[in-house]
Amino acid sequence: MSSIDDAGPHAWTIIAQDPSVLWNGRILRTRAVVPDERLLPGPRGHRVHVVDYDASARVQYKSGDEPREDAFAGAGDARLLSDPAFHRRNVYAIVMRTLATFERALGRRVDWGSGGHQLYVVPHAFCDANAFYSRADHALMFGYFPALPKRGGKKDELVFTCLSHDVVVHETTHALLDGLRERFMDPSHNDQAAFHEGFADVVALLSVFSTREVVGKVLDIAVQKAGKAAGVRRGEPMLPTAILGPKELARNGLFGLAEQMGQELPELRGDALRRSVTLRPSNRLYTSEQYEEPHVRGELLVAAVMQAFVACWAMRIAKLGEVSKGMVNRERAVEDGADLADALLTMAIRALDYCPPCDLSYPDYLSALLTADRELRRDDGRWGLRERLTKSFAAFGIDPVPGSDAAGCWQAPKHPERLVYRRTHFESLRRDPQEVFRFVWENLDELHVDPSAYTQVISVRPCMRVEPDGFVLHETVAEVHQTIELEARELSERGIDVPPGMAPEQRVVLFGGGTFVFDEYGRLKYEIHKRVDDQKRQSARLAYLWRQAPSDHDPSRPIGVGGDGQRLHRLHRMRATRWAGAPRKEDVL
Amino acid sequence: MSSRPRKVTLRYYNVGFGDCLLLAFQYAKTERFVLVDCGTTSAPGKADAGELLAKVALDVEARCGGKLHAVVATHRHKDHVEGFRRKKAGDGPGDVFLRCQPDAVLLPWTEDPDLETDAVRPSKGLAAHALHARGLLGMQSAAGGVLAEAKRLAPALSKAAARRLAFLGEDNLGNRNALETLWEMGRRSRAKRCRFLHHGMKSGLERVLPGVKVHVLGPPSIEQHPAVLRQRQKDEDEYWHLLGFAGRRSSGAPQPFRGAGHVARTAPEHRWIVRRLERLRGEQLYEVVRTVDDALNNTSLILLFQVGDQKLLFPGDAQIENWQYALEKNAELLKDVRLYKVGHHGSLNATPKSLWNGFTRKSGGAGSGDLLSVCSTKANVHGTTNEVPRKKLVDELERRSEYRSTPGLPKKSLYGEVEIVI
Repeated sequence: MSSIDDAGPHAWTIIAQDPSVLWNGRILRTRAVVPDERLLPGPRGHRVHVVDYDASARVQYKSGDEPREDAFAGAGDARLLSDPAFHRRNVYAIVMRTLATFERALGRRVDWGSGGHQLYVVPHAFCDANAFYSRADHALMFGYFPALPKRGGKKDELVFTCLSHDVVVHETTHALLDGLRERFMDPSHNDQAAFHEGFADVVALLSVFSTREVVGKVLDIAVQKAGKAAGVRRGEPMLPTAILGPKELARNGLFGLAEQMGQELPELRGDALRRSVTLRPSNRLYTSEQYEEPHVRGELLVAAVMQAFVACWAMRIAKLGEVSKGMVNRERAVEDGADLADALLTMAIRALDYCPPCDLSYPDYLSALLTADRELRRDDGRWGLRERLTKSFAAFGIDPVPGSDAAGCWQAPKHPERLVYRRTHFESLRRDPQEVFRFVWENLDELHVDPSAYTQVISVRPCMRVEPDGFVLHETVAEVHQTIELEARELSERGIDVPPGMAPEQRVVLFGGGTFVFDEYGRLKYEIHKRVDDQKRQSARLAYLWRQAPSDHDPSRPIGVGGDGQRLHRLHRMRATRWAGAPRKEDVL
Repeated sequence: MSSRPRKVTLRYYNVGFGDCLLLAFQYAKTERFVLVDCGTTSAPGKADAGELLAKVALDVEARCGGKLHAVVATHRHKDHVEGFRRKKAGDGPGDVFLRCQPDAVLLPWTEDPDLETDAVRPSKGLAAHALHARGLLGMQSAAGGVLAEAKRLAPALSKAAARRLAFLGEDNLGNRNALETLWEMGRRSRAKRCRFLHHGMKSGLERVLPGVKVHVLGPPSIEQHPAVLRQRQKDEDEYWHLLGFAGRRSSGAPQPFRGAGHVARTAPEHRWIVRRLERLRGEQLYEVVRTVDDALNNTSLILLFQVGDQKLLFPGDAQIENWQYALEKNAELLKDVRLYKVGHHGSLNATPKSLWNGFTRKSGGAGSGDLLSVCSTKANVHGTTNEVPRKKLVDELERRSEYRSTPGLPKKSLYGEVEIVI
């Protein structure tokens, strides 16, 4: 077995969106920069191990040496579709590109949620319209399935989920998010359950839109649809801004792309792009029954972000048009769209550092998003992203957390002078969980940490981010997690409601804790907490979890724990099938 | 003929995991017979299922004197309709029932062959009923695919996992042969067609069973039960269709890359993930087939036979989603049930609490205390995660009713009987 040491960073051909999105009759391609690393056959690098095993057929495809150069640069469509070696390299490149995006946004190395250094990636895992991240298996699994002939597919044509850029990014995001916030897979209320899906969709779509090829395609579809009436043809270098307003970009461009995207895959990917365009904003949606189910609720997050994206992009195009009398240079518009998607993507990822460690709500995420961006980009003038996002979330009924500042951002600690630093060491605080715990212990009250709960520092992450002015911002983000187990009969002593029908001896587990962001001097900058004794939140969480509990729930098993490593593949299937879940326990004998 | 039966006898055949129930309505000078289901997925002991069903069919024929007045197939699961399968030689159990010439054949609305659509026709423009039926058909094709794949995977799975997959996979196959027998019986009946029923329809047994009121309580139609409609939004029927299509395609091993080289022996660095993948795939297949199983159970006919003040309830394998509508609309009617054929072989989900709590004839209550419950089942075949029959349920049935079950019959008994004098 030979290996290859690459000389430097290089870019490999990948499919820009999926094989059904074409450019001049050919599959639209782009190039992804892959790291300069030692590669073994697979490809197998320092973070990803591609294993081409098919459990449905029970065969493993041979993989050979991985050439350093872009081996499929000139390959035709037929080869891209039929050569498993391309599939393996495509999936490797997209997973590594996504990892690099996260590391760039966060200013540090990022772990996979499954632990270990190398994540297994299985591009042809089984014959099924499904793809998912499995924490227990340390793997991303991608299925393939025969195309239905009705969609104009050729006989024996197969659909490979590993060739869909957005699907690969979506699954990779699950693995990364799980690494950054390990407790987000815990049973909580429906916002947290929906967040994994919604966030993975947001990252997937913005990742696709951060490639110029796809943005150019969106623009061209918009021009094709609206340009005829305006006397504009596809391919012209100057375009009238009048046909590139927010409505036109959304209805013609994004929706048009959604229509072209793999028609076999709405069942799998949940049709996130189409829904993000067609979902009509209403501030009642966030609290409506219709959007209670996690797999549907995720769509609200995607719509809020994508509609903000469209609004910002249209605003930029209009500004460009001011310079050249209602006309805009196509290349500038494309460049701006891709840059905007990249900025929004970075912002969306960076916000994770400002999220609480558990029981995340959409308002929490919005405040985190705004805070993360303001920390690094004080001037929001170019795109007005924070303002647009605030408006867009509000249009769906999602406002920043109560108690946030006027801009919707997290507030600094109210009484910084009360914090005790003298018993901790600055350097250790930046990387040592024991030192952070010591800091927490000395400041229990100020940090809203309940000493009666089991408390653990689950992460300490030093980060280094480059500000637009070129200076480097150092921060340390620590997560403190709290767990307390009670019997239902003890809940009322803490002012927490017992869900109807729950036996007094039923064990319940409550979570709490905080995310502590330290500045470059080791001083606490933000303290984003979820109190374990928050009566309202805990009552709502337990009521939600009790409704979801299976009808044959064994009372000796506690409610509130048991995050299931397989949950995502079930969630993905549920999203596809929308079949009824288990009956409520009060309904069956 | 007297206008009302004097006695009703229920003969419950010991078919193992399945149902075969023969109702005999005794009038002054004659008897009338209604067969409710006939099938099994696991015969009792080591009996051969095919031989057992043939024996049962001949016994039914003998008992009814060669004439059935009605046949009811509550839903198309193998454990309810396998006994309607015909053989080319004309000696299958379905052939026996066919020659018993039932006057009426009752099926749930989802089994109407007119709802069948071209498998590749786009779903846009299809009526909701047709969409639902198409989704169900896709599911059964998917079950076929699961079964084929499960056979390939079997060496990589534990024996228990392979067995439970095969059990549910087989039960959820299309059972086309049995359905065609039932449709043929319908064509040869007085009405020239099966009755495809939903909640609230006339049963079609009014002339066949004088003095007996037969209430059709389930399944609801899509218009009646918006929850069904809500479940069926968007592309979900297409997902099943897709899986079904994959299943048909992959009855042999799927081959995405013909000519690509295969690894002859898994390398040590890949063995861990390969083993995990195979185990995970087994779990996935089981989940698929469980979903299919639940959906088909919920197409079950729920019939309530009322003779004077005696009511006999036959819910097939209806689960909670199917029951909800009946319980909303017919709670009062269901209160004084005298005989309850226990739903879905005594599994979780099939005996709603509100139904059971509403029964007034349970022993130990204020009512007459003469409730009868009959369960046709076999233990330890339905997997380990979902105990069937469920002990908690059986304990309650034994405590609060006169409980009869096929496992409680003496060894080698072909059937048990209960009588209700009107």
